[in-house]
Amino acid sequence: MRIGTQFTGSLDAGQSGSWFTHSWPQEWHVLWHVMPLTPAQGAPGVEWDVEVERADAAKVTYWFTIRNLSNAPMNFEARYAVMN
Amino acid sequence: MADDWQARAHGPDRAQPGGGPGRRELILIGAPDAELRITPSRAMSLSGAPLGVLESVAASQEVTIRPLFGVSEERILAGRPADTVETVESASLAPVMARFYQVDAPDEQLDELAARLRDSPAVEAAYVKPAADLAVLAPERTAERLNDMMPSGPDAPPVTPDFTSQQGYLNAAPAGVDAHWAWTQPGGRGAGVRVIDCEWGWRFTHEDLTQNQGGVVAGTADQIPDSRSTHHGTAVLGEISGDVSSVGVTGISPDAVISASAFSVPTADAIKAAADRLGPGDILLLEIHRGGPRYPGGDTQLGFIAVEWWPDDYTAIRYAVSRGIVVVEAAGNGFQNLDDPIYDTPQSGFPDWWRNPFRRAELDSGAVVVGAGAPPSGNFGPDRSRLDFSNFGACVDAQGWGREVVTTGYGDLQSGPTVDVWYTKQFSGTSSASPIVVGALACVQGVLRAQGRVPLSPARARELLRATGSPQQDSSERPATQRIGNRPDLRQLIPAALETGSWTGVQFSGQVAANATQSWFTFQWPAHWHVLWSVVPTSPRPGAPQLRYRTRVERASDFHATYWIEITNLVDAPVDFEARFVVLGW
Repeated sequence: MRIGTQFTGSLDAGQSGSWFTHSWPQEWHVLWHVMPLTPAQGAPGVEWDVEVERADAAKVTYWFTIRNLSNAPMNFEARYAVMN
Repeated sequence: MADDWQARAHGPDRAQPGGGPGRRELILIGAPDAELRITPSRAMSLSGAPLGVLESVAASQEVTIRPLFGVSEERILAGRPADTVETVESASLAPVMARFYQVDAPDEQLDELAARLRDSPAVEAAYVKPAADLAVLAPERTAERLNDMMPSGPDAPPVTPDFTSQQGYLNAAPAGVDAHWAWTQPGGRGAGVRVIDCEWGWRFTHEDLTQNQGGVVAGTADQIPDSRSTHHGTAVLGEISGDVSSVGVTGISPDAVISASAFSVPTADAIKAAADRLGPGDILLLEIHRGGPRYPGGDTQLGFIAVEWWPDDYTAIRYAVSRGIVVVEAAGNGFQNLDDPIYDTPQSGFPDWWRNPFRRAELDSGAVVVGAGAPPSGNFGPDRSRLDFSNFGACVDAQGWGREVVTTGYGDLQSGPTVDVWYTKQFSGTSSASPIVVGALACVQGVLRAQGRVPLSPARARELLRATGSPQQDSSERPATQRIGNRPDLRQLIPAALETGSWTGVQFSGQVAANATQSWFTFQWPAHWHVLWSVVPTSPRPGAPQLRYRTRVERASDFHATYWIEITNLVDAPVDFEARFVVLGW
């Protein structure tokens, strides 16, 4: 298993954004999650959805919709885990 | 240009000890609801807020007000253009940073101007920062000045000797950080890591600084070849990045690429400029301190403290840390107990939101703060005891050698016809200590990168520096309770950084009412852990889905995360469940 941070980004208060990352080998079993980098105590700061595109026989593209749930700008990192 | 440095060797820079390279700065913070826009000749409020005295001050020919963290408020708010498709500028602090301004005016007018500006309803805060300086000159309580070395060493032979045997800080712990061992590990020389040193001057043309040198990337360096500033920066470079060769010294992390950001601009601006050129896991070094509340004024550094105490420098450091950059900050040479309640009292003109960052409670810069410890020679007290000038306190994370550091520059170990062959054996202060911690961290980040691992976050770097290393020792006058922390030991630090784990478990169980949606949270999870969540019903009911769940994340602090699990019951009867986690590693 390998873990890492694929990208970082920022969102204004209440804003949603879309990102994608491409050319992931189709045979990799990949899971995703998002971690805020900006401390903001007391309530959830971020939620996300992941969608998947089979770009070709060998490659996969992952698409993310990430939502800032707080009332302040926020930085985040998108983390992956390759499970196999 | 040998004559050039000889002519200047006793010039003004040396004739005015204590007259540091920094200058006083007047910082203005606009009120949050004023939405100020200020050009060099005019101030206005987008919200129509009354400007009061700010209007006439901004229009004055003698005064120039400009945004501190960028060329205009709009650009600060927008962030810089993304430098890769998937990386976007850190923007969380942008609305705050866009309200900071630098006020240029004749020095003798700064205090009066700050007082007047505070009367404007559009101004949240206005304060004058004392001139910053290199963390080098000791106060008069020290018998001798730090880093006042003269080029008294023997002239360089045709080929400079190998001085690495004199670099005790490279040796095995407890004497050194055991760089020799780190170098045997893949990536252990800092490969793939970027370091930026923030101060005033450097000599990138030095004979021992030819590999992995990025030069000055922001601001303008002191151009005088043998000024105090230039020697200082050159000495810092040598400790971290001296070339791997049989000539001169070898840096602790010579494969890291080192660059420089000059304090020719306001200090907070230089810090942000450096941060904009680094990424997560890279390292930013602050070789600076300035006079705090106990600074009596005049030719002394008594009372000089770490710069995070001032709101604009704090914000710039916070900006870097929020980008995942490890900021290493000299604690300062001011003989100060940073736990002293005097530091809880804001300087006149600070904003209402300011709290003492040395407490690391309501405000925490996230920087690694470094004190100066005695080297193992015994010439300055027991090994790893606090040196007399070094600031200390609960916020000091780690120590490095604060005396007898062999590195490039100054010329007391070897001089010669050009400063580019000069070396010292007396580099000192929290200035010499901080690069040792930087070098050690660069080795760790290099090893992690070489193994495809996640680099240390700023909070994790702090934690590991505190959890490993050679402990501080008592001296007769300065007990270890006057904290400067441990000396890094890479033979402990690298294995600790490489430790990881993976396990599963059930964090909690509960019941969701029929057709209801409820949230649970679980807190104090180390934020550097990669954790995934799932929810499984424990009440059997075949034939249709019972539960839907979503994970949300709160970053409670630099170090901790809180996970919120929102669960929806899809059926018309209560459902028992268990919330399961898997820790994938870190």
